[in-house]
Amino acid sequence: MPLSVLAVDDSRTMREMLRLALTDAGFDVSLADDGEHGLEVLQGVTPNVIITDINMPVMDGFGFIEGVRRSTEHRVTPILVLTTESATDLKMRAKNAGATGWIVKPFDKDKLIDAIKRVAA
Amino acid sequence: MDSMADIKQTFFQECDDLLGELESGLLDMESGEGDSETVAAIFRAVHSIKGGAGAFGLDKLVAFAHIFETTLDEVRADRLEATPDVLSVLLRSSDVLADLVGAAQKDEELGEERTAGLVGELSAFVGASADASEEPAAVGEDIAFAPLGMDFDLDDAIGDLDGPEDTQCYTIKFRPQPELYANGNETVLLMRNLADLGEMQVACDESKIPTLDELDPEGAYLAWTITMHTSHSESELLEVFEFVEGDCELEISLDEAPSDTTESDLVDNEATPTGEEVATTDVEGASASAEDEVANKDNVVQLAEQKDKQKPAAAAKASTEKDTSDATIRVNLGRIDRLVNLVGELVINQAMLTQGVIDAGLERGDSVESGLEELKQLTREIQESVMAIRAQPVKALFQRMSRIVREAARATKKSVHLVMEGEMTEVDKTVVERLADPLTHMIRNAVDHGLETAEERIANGKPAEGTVSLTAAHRSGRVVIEVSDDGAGINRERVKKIALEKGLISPDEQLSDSEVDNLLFMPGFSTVDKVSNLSGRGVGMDVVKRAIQAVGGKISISSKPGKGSTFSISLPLTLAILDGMVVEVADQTLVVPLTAIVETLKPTPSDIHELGAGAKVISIRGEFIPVIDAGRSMGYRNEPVDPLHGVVLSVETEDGARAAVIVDTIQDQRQVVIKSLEENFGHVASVAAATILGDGRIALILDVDSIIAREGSARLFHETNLAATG
Amino acid sequence: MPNSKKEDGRIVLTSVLDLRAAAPLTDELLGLRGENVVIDASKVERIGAPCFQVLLSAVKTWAVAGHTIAIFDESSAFSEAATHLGVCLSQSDKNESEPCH
Repeated sequence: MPLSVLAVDDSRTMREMLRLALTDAGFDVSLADDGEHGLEVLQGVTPNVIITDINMPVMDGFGFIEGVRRSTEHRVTPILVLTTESATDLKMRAKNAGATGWIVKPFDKDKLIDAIKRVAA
Repeated sequence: MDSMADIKQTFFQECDDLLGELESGLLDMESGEGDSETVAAIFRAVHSIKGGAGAFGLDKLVAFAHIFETTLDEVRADRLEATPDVLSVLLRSSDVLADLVGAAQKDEELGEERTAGLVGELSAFVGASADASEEPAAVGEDIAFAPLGMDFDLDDAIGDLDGPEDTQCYTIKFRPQPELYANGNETVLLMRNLADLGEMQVACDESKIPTLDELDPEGAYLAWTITMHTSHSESELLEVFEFVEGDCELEISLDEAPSDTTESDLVDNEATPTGEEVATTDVEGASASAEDEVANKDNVVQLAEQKDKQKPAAAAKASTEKDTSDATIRVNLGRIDRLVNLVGELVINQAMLTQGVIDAGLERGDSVESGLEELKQLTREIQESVMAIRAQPVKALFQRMSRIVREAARATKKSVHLVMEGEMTEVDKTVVERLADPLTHMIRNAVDHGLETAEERIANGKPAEGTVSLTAAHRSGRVVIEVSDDGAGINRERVKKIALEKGLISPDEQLSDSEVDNLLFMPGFSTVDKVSNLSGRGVGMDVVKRAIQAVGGKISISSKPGKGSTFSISLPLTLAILDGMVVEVADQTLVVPLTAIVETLKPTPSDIHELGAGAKVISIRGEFIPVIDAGRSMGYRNEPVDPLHGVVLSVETEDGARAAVIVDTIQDQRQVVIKSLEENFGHVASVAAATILGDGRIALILDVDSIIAREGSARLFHETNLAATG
Repeated sequence: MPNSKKEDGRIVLTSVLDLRAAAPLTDELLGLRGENVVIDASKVERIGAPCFQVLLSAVKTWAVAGHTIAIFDESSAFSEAATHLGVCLSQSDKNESEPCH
């Protein structure tokens, strides 16, 4: 069974890039526009790994991660933060919210897949 | 299917949307309708453009978006106030960002000159509000956006520090904390990833496992000791644990020292070592060894510490490789100021030492003397170097003016061409910053009042498009900035009429052209009949003049009817050092700023005229100038000195008020280091600051403006004022 | 969510034994205290360290109580994870010189 991934990003470009990279790697991909949308999508899918942007309108990545960790269904699902900020404090904030790991944009496709495989059980 | 190309199209479409949001958000902020969400949305728009651009390797776009975003982040975090000036820069940045996107879409490159100025201005905003604690983050960002496109990876940089080597044996001690599991990490996966790097034996410490009734099912009880034979470096082993940094105790030690290792204190560890010394491989070289020492003492090296120390090292390496010639560091301004102060002390100290050597009466050619000469030279070079740190080209400031010209041209419906010259002229940072407001006002004035309407210009045989020029140049140790227009010149008849109406001059005053022009600098003067929404905000040239004076500058005006006007600002290169004339008054040493002195002369009896009540004037080339006795003015003596026994310094204030200051003798003319009295003592009337002379004595620096003001307004030919003098 | 099926001192481990499975597994084992227990690991597709902690705790608890607990028919996923973690789950192996990994 292929790994399934939910990618949450407010940028259409980024969503399309993630979709391309992840489908090419043979993953099942779901997409969401922001944190709130991501939580809605999670009511219908059970991804193996979640990838999320941090800076998003409506609900940002921190709120989304906390929401996922509060849910019974997805609270242990690995969440990778996809962000341009390589700043340590941002990673730490994401971790405190419950993130599993991070990918620094602009992402390298292989590194992206590698990071997913690293955390996907 | 050429999907990346499709996505690139999507990216440019999205950019259009984002640029629209960016502009409308900025305009909302400008009109005061913005709130924190507006700022957040603006930030996101730039952030998203940067993210996409990075993915497509659009390096120029990334670079500009990055500094733009950084500035917006300052606004978002309330560290930078969105003043009209800031917004103006942000708006122009959004224009340039749009141009960069457009150029990228057409596979073109935008000229460097389009971005360079804005980058400077944006950086200045960030630099002004950033504090030292943000530095590491900034370094990280720079690395992440090194123009290497999608191939770039920080971890590669770390990994490459260690070349392929023979197999080494590491002992990894790993104790997860509950957070590790709660955040979706898993030891099994870490072990699996670790196993890919070499041959390993895993020893699980089960001793902490409680019985079932005491077990927290989501606790962390197991710990592991892993013996690893690998050709991979320690940093690669650490990378496996990258995500669990802070959620575990981790210790990696090298069991057997390879032959080329210089460290001699490595110990062979058993699979379950206790209290052994932790030998971290020295991937960064000697600079990290001090930290290693500390870490070793703690015995348990938290992963976080190791990473913290490695990343900057890798960053430093990467940036060294990237560009050594243009490398910059950002330094807290406070540190530079401290350095400037210390150099000031050094200059004083060196002068005192010189004086001491002279007093000691050493022979000529003595080695002390030649050594002292070298010290003097070195001191001067250090001083210049330190001042150079604070120096900035006026380019960023000038480019900000181009929008001012555009805006003013739009508002007045005039066609204006801005010519800039000498943008690379460097001035002290503080001076540059404080010039923005006065220069803005002068530029607006030039467009609004200086230039005629297109119809008038054509009628006068001039091109319809007016020209405003902004130039900067170094001139005899000062920086001269000029704002000129090719307009109608000052309408002196109208200026006089207005001055008369406002009671600034009396009807029978005979004013030279230059004096009429200088009326523009009088407080409350405004030449506009109808208040235009541009410069007629009740802010006159007097405000400009005061702002210029505040940075130790002088402003002057010259005008030719029908040809235009030129405002000329003369500025000191630095605010820390002053060219002064050292004079002696009633056995006290004073320093008079050279900029205030027009000329020095020895008066003859026929030059001096008594006005009664002790007031005197001196006639200099037909002009009568009030005489001020510096000694009495400063309270050094009560008896008036005979001007014939002293030296007269003809001084002029920034508003053109003149006076003849009598001093006893002139000693020297030299640069002095300004020591603020206000910081250390409090404001003293007639005294601008103090300095310390070579012999260690403190000399006060005369505040010429305030002396003349105190002695009564010395505007020429003002009999009422003259009567009040003395 | 039913974590496993109980058949007279017998537990069948579910396929996914992630962090969320640790608490139900603990409860299930606690319910069998005082009995000899056999644990069927044949259906395990995924197991993490927390569930191993539960199983190790159970082994310890059962040993203290003097009852037997045994895991049989380990799936390859189970064995692989146990090997990666260097975990030894057999009660009898505890006293032998050769550990089970």
